[in-house]
Amino acid sequence: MIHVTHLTKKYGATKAVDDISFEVQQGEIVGYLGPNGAGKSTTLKMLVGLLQPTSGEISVAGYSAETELLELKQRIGYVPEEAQLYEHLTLVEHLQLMGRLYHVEEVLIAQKITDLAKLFDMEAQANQRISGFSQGMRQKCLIMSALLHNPNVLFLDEPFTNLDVTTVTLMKTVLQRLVELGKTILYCTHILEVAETLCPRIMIINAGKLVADAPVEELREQTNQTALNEIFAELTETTGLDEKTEEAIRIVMEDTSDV
Amino acid sequence: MFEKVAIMFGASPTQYRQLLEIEKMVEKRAFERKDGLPHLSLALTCGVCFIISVLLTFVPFLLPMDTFTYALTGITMSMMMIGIWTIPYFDILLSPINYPVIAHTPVSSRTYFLVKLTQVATYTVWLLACLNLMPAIGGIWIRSEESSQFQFLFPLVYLPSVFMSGLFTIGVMTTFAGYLTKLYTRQALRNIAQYAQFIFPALFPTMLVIFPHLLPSISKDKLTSVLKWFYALPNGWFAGIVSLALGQIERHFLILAGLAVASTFFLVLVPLRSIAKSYSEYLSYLLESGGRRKSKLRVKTPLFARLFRNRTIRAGMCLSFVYLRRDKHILRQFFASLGTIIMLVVLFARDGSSYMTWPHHSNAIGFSPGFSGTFYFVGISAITGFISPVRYSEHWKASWMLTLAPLSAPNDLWRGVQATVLLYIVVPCTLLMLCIAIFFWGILGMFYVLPVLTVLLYFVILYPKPLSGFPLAEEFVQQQVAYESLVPFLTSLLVIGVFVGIQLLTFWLNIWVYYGFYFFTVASGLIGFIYFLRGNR
Repeated sequence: MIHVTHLTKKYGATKAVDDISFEVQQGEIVGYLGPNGAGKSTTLKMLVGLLQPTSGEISVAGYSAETELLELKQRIGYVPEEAQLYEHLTLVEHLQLMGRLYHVEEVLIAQKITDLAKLFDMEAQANQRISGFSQGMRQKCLIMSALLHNPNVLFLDEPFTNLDVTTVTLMKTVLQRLVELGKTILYCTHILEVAETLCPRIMIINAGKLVADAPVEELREQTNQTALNEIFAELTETTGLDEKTEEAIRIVMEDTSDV
Repeated sequence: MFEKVAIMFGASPTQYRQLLEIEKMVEKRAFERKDGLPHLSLALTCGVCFIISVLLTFVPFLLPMDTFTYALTGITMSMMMIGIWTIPYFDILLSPINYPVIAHTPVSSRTYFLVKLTQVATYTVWLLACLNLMPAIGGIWIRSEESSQFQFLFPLVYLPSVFMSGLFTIGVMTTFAGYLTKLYTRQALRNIAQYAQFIFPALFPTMLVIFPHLLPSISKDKLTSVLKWFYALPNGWFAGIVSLALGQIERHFLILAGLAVASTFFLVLVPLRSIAKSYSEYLSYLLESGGRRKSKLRVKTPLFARLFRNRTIRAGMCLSFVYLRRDKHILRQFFASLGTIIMLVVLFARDGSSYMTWPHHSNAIGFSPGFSGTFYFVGISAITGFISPVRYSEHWKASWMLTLAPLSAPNDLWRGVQATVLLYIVVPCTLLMLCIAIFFWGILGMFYVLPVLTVLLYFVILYPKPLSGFPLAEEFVQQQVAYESLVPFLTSLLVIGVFVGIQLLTFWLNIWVYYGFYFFTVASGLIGFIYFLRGNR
């Protein structure tokens, strides 16, 4: 369902994403992990057509990002890392906008808005402006818009940020059910526990390079580590934790104030 | 010097200096344009102020004017410009964005407030300098019965007085905004600021219409009695300082100067100190955004959007219509542009209906085709007031949604904006002008307004669209928006001039050619409008 071949993104001389290739099959949910600035969000932005790759090929749902971008876009849903929204719109107006942009029937838009607002417990806020929403509400707003047009492939960049426990639990179950129904999900996160419970397969990117791509069990065997955070630390070369902790304590405890 | 002021206000000089530098840097980077023309709009505003100042400088050579009247004119102009200019900076002075930044840091309210005030004051000094340097020199040549032997000292007296009046204006505006913040919600305050602005643009043209009519009929005695009214107003007080300092030691000038000094102190410095003291408190008031009422879920579509079956056009229309109603930057510019309607009413009320006949009649005001140009001007102002800022938004980063969407014709989104303009601005504006014209001249007035629809329709269609085709997709920078809207506006005035010229030419050639051209214009407008609506369905 997702085919990525030799994907590279350069900013000047810096390679944000460096020659990565992978495939995700239909009905699969894959965790895409990596430290800050590793290139996770950049990869996702290229996959959804928000960023132009420097080189490499992308194909999603059988459509090439280079030649059939519109067809590709119609079949994907995307939850970005940052909740950038048109804040003067209400939730209903925002979802109407997204529905229309994805060519959803007007009657269906109205129906889906009502149902999604109910599902995410946002009925009372549905006609309020997004500018007054909390971070969690904004995140719900993004998730609703990603699901509104029934996409085949979902690209989720830290989708559970700021969400309450109830919604996270609901979303985990929903995602698992969607995968069972044949949807494909690329799930980008820092939260290893969520990735571990939700994604049977994990990809790890570090400094733009794909350093691991295997089922969690296989990674455990490869690294001789049991916990995912230890696997992650080993693969991303996050070593010397004790020394770094001591250094941090020393810096914090230095008396800097003259008050 | 600024640090001494900081200490005087009870602020921390170190924090004040650091914050000011940061704010300056942030503002500079926000205003920097990609083509390397930073602060162009400020330069442009200063340029306009300078042109006004040159005109003002020549007034004493053209009209008999005493020192008080001359100073009064300059000070009134300066106070108005500063007043108009300060309103967009309400959000800089009292910005809720600052609250999360300062609330948890050991920066005192006074320090932060002073930083904000200094920013506004710096720009004010620039504007005042451009507006008053030339008139200050011109004042030396005032010759009247009252002018004194110390007239050569005019610049030395006038400039400090003008700067004092500028300080007074900023202070009053800030204090006004500060107290309103405590009384009303943030939204209400914004609304007051936005809706009030449509008065200002109307003021200058209206004065230009009224003043020439008043001047010949006012005798010197009458003028003196009119001027006395200004003694009650702050601009009169500051002009009083100038007269007094140039040797006109009279009781009323003494009182006026005393009022100016005392009011600047008591009405400005004291409340400003009070606001400075509880600046954080004001910001926390701003954060209270009117409460969250529980409401029932309603899924509605704006009435006119249902005319369009193309979903992208409909999406563009609904998005831009929401921003027309709710975005403060758009509202500010749009309502300011509506001031021209007041100008129209004043103009018509002044000139009356006695001469008005069928448009070609040579006894009509000025010449009739030229006169109908005022209607075009009003419509174009209203359209520009919306269509130029709608390209930009504070929420421009949200345009990722538009880029992400599978749009086969991204320009359809812009067509949606055009539809908003036509249905929610052009049509109501034309109807309003039709009502105004019919009110003043009966049914004949209608013939002046009909060609407006054509002119406005093609103006909307030909208005340059953003490269991406997306509305609200470029970062909002006030100065840049003002500058970029100026070029299409001025070009449109030129085109209107040509259009009116053609009308005149046909009128001079043959009245039947004029009628033919007139009906062609009106018909092409109506057909074009219907074609636009049908073509975009």
